[in-house]
Amino acid sequence: MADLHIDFAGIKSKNPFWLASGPPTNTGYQVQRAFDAGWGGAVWKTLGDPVINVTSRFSGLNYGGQRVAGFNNIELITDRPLEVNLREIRETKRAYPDHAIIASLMVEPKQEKWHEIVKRVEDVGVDGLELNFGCPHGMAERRMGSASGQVPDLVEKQTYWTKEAAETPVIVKLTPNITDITATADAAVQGGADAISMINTINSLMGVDLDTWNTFPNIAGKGTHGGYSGPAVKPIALSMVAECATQPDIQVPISGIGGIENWQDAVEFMLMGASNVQVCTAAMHHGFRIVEDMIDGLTNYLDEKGLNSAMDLVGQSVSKYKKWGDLDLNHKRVARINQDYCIHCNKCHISCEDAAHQCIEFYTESDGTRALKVREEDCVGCNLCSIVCPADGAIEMIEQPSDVSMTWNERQRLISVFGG
Amino acid sequence: MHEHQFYLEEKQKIDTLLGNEFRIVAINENLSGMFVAFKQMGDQGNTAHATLHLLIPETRKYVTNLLLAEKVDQSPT
Ligand SMILES: Cc1cc2nc3c(=O)[nH]c(=O)nc-3n(C[C@H](O)[C@H](O)[C@H](O)COP(=O)(O)O)c2cc1C
Ligand code: SF4
Ligand code: SF4
Repeated sequence: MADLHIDFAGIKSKNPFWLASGPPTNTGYQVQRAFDAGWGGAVWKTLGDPVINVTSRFSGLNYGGQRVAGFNNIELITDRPLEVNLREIRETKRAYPDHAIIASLMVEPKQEKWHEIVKRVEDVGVDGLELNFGCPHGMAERRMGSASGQVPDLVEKQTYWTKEAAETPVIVKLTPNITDITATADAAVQGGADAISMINTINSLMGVDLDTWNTFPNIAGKGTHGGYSGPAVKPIALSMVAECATQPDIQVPISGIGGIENWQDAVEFMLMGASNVQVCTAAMHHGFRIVEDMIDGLTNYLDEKGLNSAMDLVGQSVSKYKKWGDLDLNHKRVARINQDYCIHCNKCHISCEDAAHQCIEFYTESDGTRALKVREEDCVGCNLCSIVCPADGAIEMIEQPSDVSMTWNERQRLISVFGG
Repeated sequence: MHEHQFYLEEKQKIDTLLGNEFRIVAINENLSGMFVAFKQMGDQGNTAHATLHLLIPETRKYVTNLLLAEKVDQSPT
């Protein structure tokens, strides 16, 4: 059976599944129950000067039949005194020595503040530190969280101060609320980070009530922007992990976070360069026991793939992630409709006609029924019809590889000789 | 008319010129598409010129595939 153990920047855990800093890691009671359920590690709810939260602080985006396709929160960091958290961390670490406990930290951007908190949390035996440079709401108005995480200099400086005092590995958790995440990832590496994690939540406003004109969520009629998480953010998180994993200057392990709900999501992040994953919203939605399926699923997957260790997955897809200019312009793909599965809803025709290349046509079968067919020579293989088709197997995208590949960059080099 | 049909027409014009010993000597791409300049060296040292304005992406790709495959002896002279 495959080995799920991972070594994340020197932090060992029995599987790659960690709870991300958030409501599920608020107390020792919760973290211990999570470890009992099977989670390999937990990043404690961010420690710092205890806050006061507002009441109505979460809202969910339900999309079609799916509840919590996205999740918005305006919760701040821990509202409990440091001593209380430290006592529970110490107890939890004693009771679960084989599980990884990471202290998430957020203090003002001052050297002495970082030194003080690092010493105090390391005294109770944490396995590592995660610097929360990502919380986009509330704390950012106090110059912390994403406010300092958006400024590469501040990321570098605060990482450096932490490293001055730290004896355990330092993970820098990055905000996605930035144009180019590799800029802050690089700053973290320059500051001496042992690892980076991403993403924290994305700036969001969940909605506006059409009757009252109040925002969601609102507190006595007033709202503020929050942080977006859950399945909807996964593609954004995955691309940010990929951006960092493909940067030669960013050679530190990556912890993947954002919309991970199951073992398949976790494998995708690991293939794209993450050495482990963290989960918050899915644990809030479905509870700690989702990790059972994640462990079983990953074990079976590794066995099926003939891999001995979860670590063997890390980064396997990174070399397949390129700049657009390095993609093959000559490779062709066309849509083909399989009449055996088509339910004649016409959605593909409408989409191709209105938004693609007008190449799905009606024709009349020998028995007089009307059906749809792709005019393949005009199909650009955009995938739109197969995306909108509700019938599994009704549209197949057929690969038509060319003998010679030609990328945009190669093409531009060629025509530049001719003055193009 | 469907785009593939336009492609075949543009491709036909290129193939005809190449078949008549024209060579690609300059390529200019701008907002209007691709302008490909051809030159034909006559037996008596006389030269003929032709320019094609290509609109269709497939044809613009075809031109560079020709260069890539060096199917024709092209040189920017
Ligand atoms: C309600 C809530 C509270 C959170 N609090 C924290 C926090 O205190 N510290 C932190 O670093 N991240 C915090 N996060 C962000 C999560 O750790 C995680 O980065 C983000 O939610 C994306 O992952 P997910 O889609 O699995 O939730 C919080 C997220 C939520 C939903
Ligand atoms: S792949 Fe795109 S262009 Fe081709 S048939 Fe489907 S929608 Fe039309
Ligand atoms: S969308 Fe799918 S099911 Fe509907 S007509 Fe097209 S191929 Fe058939």
